Amino acid sequence: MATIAIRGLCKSYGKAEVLRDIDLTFEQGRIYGLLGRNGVGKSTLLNLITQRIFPDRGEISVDGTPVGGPGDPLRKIYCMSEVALYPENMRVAELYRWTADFYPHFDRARADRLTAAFALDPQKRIKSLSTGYASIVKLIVTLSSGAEVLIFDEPVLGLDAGHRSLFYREVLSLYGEKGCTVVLSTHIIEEISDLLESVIILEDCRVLVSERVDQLLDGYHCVSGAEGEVLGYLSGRAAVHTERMGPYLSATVAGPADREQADRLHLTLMRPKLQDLFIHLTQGKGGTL
Amino acid sequence: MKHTLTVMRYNLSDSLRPTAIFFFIYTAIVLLNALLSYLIPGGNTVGSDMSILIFLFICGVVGFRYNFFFAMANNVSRRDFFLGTALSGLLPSILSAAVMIVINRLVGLFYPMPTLYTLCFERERLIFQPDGVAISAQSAGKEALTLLMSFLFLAVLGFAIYLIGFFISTLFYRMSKLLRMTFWVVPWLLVVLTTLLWPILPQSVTGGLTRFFSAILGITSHSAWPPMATAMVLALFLTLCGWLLTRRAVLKK
Repeated sequence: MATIAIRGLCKSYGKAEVLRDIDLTFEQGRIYGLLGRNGVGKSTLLNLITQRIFPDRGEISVDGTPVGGPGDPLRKIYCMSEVALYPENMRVAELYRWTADFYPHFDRARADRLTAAFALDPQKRIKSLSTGYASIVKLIVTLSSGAEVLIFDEPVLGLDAGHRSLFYREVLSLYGEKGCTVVLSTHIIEEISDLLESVIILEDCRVLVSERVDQLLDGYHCVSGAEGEVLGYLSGRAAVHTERMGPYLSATVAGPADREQADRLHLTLMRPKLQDLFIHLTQGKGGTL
Repeated sequence: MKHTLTVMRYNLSDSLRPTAIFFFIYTAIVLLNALLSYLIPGGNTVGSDMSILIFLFICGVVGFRYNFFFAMANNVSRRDFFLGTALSGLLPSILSAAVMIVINRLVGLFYPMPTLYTLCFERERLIFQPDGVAISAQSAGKEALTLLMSFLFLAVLGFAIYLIGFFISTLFYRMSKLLRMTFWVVPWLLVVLTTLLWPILPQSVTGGLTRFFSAILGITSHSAWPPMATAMVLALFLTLCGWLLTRRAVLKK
């Protein structure tokens, strides 16, 4: 299984700086969430890893071998791109055949099974597919590629709830079966939060957070109950996110939970939501009420 | 190297259908033209092999953009992509030349049909009709050699033209839209400047240039080898430039 190491990576487009001194390691056999607001450089980072674009400075290596170096380390990676890179006139079945030529461990049986599961016609041409099915084709190819690192850039673009659920199940199944490294870059954090082991949040050209999801969530807690009691609990604490539901209030709070006080105020303590934390961390907002 | 061959196979398979369509139309038109020329005096079949060169040029011109995207989708290195795409012009050039020779022979059964090579280098073997139209002299002793040279000339020229087309598509991919739009002024400027400067240049310079171009185009030696070598040297030089452009090419989407 492959480890991707990124050291001192910088990238600008003209005068616009996108990534600055990025140091990251994607360890083998983990599911990563690459999160960040629009235009923060998630796709740029993924394109740099796969050498679709070049960095201004810095190094990227796969198992110690620089990408683009000898031994073809990129063969260990398949990156599903948000943009369309497949020839428009190619049929889905042809695409599987050609991918198998480039990726010798391509699992055709898996591709065929997923094609049936997603109700995709393999004889259709890429150009005739809807946005959702165009994404599905890319998902199937990536999941079946047999690569050790699977990168998904906006994987569920245009997918309905059923197809999204099927995709998440398949990612988990493949991960359980082969233990490959998975990188999911998406804005739909709520849906993938249960899948992720580690999270990387990009903000302001830098890596804001790179740690295990459990560790990140342990630094916060969520409290809910009657508004007055919740406000009492929040007194002197930093609420990073609040949500009103009629007479009730739910708040995500930084720091460890005070179980005694919560019980006394008849409040419910819960694990915070990754999405709420993400919003707080990337907007720099929150504070006390 | 393995992916170079896969890229080659992909390019060839991708161009199979347009090639088949082109040769179907080409053969039909050449045969129809030959038939009409046979039936109606004054017709001619000269220059039909030029269309093969144009076809190969187009193959080269469309060779970069979409194939590059597919190569990037599959993490194919730029070296494998470039080599694979450049070399995939070789087979169509050879096959096109071979098909042209076969068609030429077929047509030749009913009506003499000169090749591009005959027109350029074996004009003594041509018969000019009263209206000035050239047809091949028949029953010449050098028939087999002429056919071989016609084949070689077209194959080499075809491959060189494919590579030049490929270079142009690489260049255009790397250029910004503004540069692409203004690029076309370069050949026009060259023609204008040459026309303006030629009379005022010293005779030793213009004479030297004339002799140089006469030599490399085979006009002096009346041989097909110098132009074939010139075409290949030029194509290989542009291919090298194409590689320099490709190795830093990035995904533009």
